[in-house]
Amino acid sequence: MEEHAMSPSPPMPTPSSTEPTREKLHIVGVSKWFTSRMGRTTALQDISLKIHDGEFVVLLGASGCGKSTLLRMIAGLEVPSAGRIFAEGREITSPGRDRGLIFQTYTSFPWLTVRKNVEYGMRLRGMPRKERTSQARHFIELVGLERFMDAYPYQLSGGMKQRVAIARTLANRPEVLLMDEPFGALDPETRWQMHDLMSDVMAKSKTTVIMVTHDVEEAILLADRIVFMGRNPGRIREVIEPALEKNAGDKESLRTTPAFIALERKIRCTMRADSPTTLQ
Amino acid sequence: MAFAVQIPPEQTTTTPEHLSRMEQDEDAPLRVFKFGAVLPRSTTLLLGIVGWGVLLAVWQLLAETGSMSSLVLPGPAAVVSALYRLFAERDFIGDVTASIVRVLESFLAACLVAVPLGIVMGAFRPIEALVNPIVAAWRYLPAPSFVPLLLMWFGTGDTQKLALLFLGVVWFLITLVMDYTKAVRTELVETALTLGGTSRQILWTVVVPAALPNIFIALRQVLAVSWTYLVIAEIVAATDGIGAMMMRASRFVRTDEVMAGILMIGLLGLVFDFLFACAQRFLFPYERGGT
Repeated sequence: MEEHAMSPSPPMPTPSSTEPTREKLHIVGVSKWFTSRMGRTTALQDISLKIHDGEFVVLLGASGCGKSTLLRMIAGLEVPSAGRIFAEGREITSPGRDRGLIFQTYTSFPWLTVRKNVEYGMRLRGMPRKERTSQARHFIELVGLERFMDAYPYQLSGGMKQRVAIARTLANRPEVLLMDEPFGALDPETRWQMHDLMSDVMAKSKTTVIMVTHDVEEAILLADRIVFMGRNPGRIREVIEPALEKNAGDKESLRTTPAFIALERKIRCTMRADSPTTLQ
Repeated sequence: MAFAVQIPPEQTTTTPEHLSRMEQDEDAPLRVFKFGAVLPRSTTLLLGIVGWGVLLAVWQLLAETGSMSSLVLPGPAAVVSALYRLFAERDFIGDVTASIVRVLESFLAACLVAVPLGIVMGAFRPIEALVNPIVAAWRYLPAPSFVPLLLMWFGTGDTQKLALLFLGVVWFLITLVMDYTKAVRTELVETALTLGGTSRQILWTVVVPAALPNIFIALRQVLAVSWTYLVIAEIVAATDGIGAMMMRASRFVRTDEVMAGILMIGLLGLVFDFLFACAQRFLFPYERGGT
């Protein structure tokens, strides 16, 4: 790639494949560095990844591994320093409604009711009111907020606010749903509820999801594929497919199966090996 | 409506436990130098009245004991009766109306300039970089220093007074609106971007509604500043208005009437602040719960 040769990047291995494919998402040799007075910090180095249609991919890693930066680049909110990202063969250059992003902080618009929040994306593209209303109702029911249609966000709990954000993004019919530690600010019980909700919603809507988290359990429970990332600089350490029987039984019994425990242990060990040892 | 609305704290105070706790608080000795102390409503009100009472008593005492001539310092009762006489006998209502119209006209003009300008400055960096250096410099020029210039440009009429009131507030208002617009959470804007919003759409459907409650607070604060400039505006080439009345009264050493004018401006300030507070509660009902 010409861009690659021109950019004054640190020594970098050539990406394995530079040809864009028709994959849902194709990340090709992406690096990101920030320049400050202290010099240059490499946040991400040579990330290449293909994400298939309908897949639930979790970017897992400790803080500072650049997983959020990668997600923001997929969303088009940040530009790679090197490399390119393609969505169904088209290069990503800006944010777009095909890639909806959900933040850890609550982003429901406080001046709009739950219904108006969920309708927001459809209103932007001028969908007729009638169609908008029925669509919004469908997605509000999907996240179980039908009793709170006309409530304002300040009347909702944290978990409910996150459900509004999920419904609002899904109602916009994105090709890919991006989630940046969406349940990080919730208490454990609400988080479990949200995991069940996500499994349920994903089974129904068949959207491709990329979720960022540092919670190992969350990653194993939800992911079709876990992309485990290391830091200094941020890079992909390992790609794991937790081939568990996801829909068999409840989450609690799944959590205690030998396969689950072995996988969790394996990931934790890799995480420990990666973390700095200066504390000793 | 079917949803569970959170009960506002005022309503919960009617429960017996709350009543007993409040009584307990009232019985407990008042500790002045205690951090984070919760004062019962009644005590807060009482202390406010005591503060005013002491001030008025000292004032009345100073006026009555004759340690100061009543010509220099009339007592509070004399000021209030002067205010009454002004309305009853001297057609003060005309002056008051003139002043209110002046403040509102100039304030409206300042809003029409400052609110749109502040919003685009806060939303778009290049516009801020272009305009803010000018605004920042003008903000530190005292508005009254423009009086000679304004007299030359606009003469002694109403325009000159309106211009002074306008100059007194517009720079602050631009800066406040810009700052509040910049304070709109980036996550809200970025969410709208990933929902497919264009710059224009996001400006109108996210930035403006998100900043509006705070902009309204800025308007409230700046209207108070506008009242403080009123007397300066009406002293020069005075014809009508509260400030003009005060200047006439001071020529005849009617200290009571001068002070009645000050009292009137204070009262009007309070009334407008109260109206603003009501409008705020009406316009932004969702603001009570924070984010």
